[in-house]
Amino acid sequence: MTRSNKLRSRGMPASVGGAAVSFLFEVIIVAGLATVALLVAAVVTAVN
Amino acid sequence: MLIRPDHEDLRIVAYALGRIFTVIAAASLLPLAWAVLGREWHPFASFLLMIGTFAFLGQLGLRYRPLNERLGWSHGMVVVALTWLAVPTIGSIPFIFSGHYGGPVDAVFDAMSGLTTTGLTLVQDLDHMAPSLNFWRHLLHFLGGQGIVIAALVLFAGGGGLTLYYGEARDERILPSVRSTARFIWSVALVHLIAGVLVLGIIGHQVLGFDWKRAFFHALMVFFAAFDTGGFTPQSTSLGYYHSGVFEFAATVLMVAGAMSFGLHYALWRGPRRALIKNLETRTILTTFTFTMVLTMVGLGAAGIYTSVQGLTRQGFFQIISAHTGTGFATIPSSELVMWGGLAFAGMTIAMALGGMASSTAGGIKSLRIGLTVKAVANQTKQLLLPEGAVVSTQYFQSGRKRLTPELAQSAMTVALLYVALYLLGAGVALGYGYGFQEALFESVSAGASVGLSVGLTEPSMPMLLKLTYMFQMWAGRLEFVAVFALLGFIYAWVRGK
Repeated sequence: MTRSNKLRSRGMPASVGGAAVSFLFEVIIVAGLATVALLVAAVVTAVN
Repeated sequence: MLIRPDHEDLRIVAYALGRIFTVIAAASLLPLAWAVLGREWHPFASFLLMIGTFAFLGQLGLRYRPLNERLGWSHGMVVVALTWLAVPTIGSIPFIFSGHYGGPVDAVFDAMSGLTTTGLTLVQDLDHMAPSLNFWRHLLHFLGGQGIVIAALVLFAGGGGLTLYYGEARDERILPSVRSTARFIWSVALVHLIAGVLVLGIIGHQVLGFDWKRAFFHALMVFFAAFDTGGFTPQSTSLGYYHSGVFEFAATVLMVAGAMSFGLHYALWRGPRRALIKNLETRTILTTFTFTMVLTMVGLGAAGIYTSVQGLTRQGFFQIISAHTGTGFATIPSSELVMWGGLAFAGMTIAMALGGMASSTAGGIKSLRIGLTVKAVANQTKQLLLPEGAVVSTQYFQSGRKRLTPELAQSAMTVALLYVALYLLGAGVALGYGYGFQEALFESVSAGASVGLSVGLTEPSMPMLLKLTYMFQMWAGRLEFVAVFALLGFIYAWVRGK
């Protein structure tokens, strides 16, 4: 069994790349939602 | 006829509790060490008393070794329900002797709020609390969010782990064995801990101008509360204390990470990552995030509280993410939040009630159940429109393609209804004391969905019955009812069974 598979079978995430993708996904989600918030705020402020 | 639990049943429960209390006693050495390093001798003595109580009860339980250590379904559920009652009670000892609480009930309230990752607080003069006590408040978030019983599972071998795992409101086994799943959950938390504390600490030093020690103290506390969707903060003004958009953004990323299911974390780390797009929970939560955010911001715009685009975006966005993820951080005081009213209040209340993803640290109904309920309703409508006898089969994607069975739909709807009843319970009690409907519902949903945002009802002088109601809501809401019903059934069978 390779070290990666051994760690995986024990529930340990062996891949540093995987963790980086995870953080990137979280940042993208928040940035995306913040952009939506900005657009809504711009429309609401303009209407008012 | 109910069968009365026998001595062997009680031994099984006592032995499992003994193991868990021993783990908690070990975890409690961390705030004790903090108190020693900070030369905080008054908290040190109360931590010693707490650890001694946990260790004594742990050893007492371990004396009752059963013939068969394997936990049955009901045993596991009872163990989880009792653990989540006993830990806040014993864990409140340092708070009781701290002088920061009006009485033992207030101290237990805060410990329950900490462990259930709610964040409502009855603390007084928080800004002058000893750092070791503040650390213990936040560590309760971490222990509760990651699952204290799961922690015990990792450390102790023994049968029946699955029932304990499900008892702590986690219904997705990511890896074949429960122990490896538990290890994965703690690995994700530890990697986020290192990265999160580093980022928040650097922001604290470089942007906020804190010295390194203070920056990392705040970073650690905020990390515990954000990633475990808790809501306690080291200062009384919550995240508004920092006055920093960058700090708020970093905390928001951690809040979203905490509200993501560990199944989703696994898919992100190990693949296949295309599954993320198809995942029912991802789609549902992004839809409800957007819907509640638009509702809240339109309401805020109509109320004219924030007139600039920047102010509206920053306050509306942060508060809604905090509400939906079940964290409970605020960048505005409760006296300002209560002024939101109308649509904005409705948007916030709905966001809190819905909550995060299943098998995450967030509370509330959960996006998986919302998604399944919507699919079931659509299925029923389709069935009505099609010719009689036509069979409609609905599938959804969550860690693989699955069929939506009537039992699954019924289960999702039942739990959702129980949450609505729980929210109405707290609102009803507050209404009885003369609070306004909007405020009563907001605070009750905040307690039942483990959020922690407050419009000012939660304060030391609030009625005792309301304090006890909120504590029950936090406990039942966090355990998603099953373990609570199992405990009630166990007690009833003990009294009335044959």
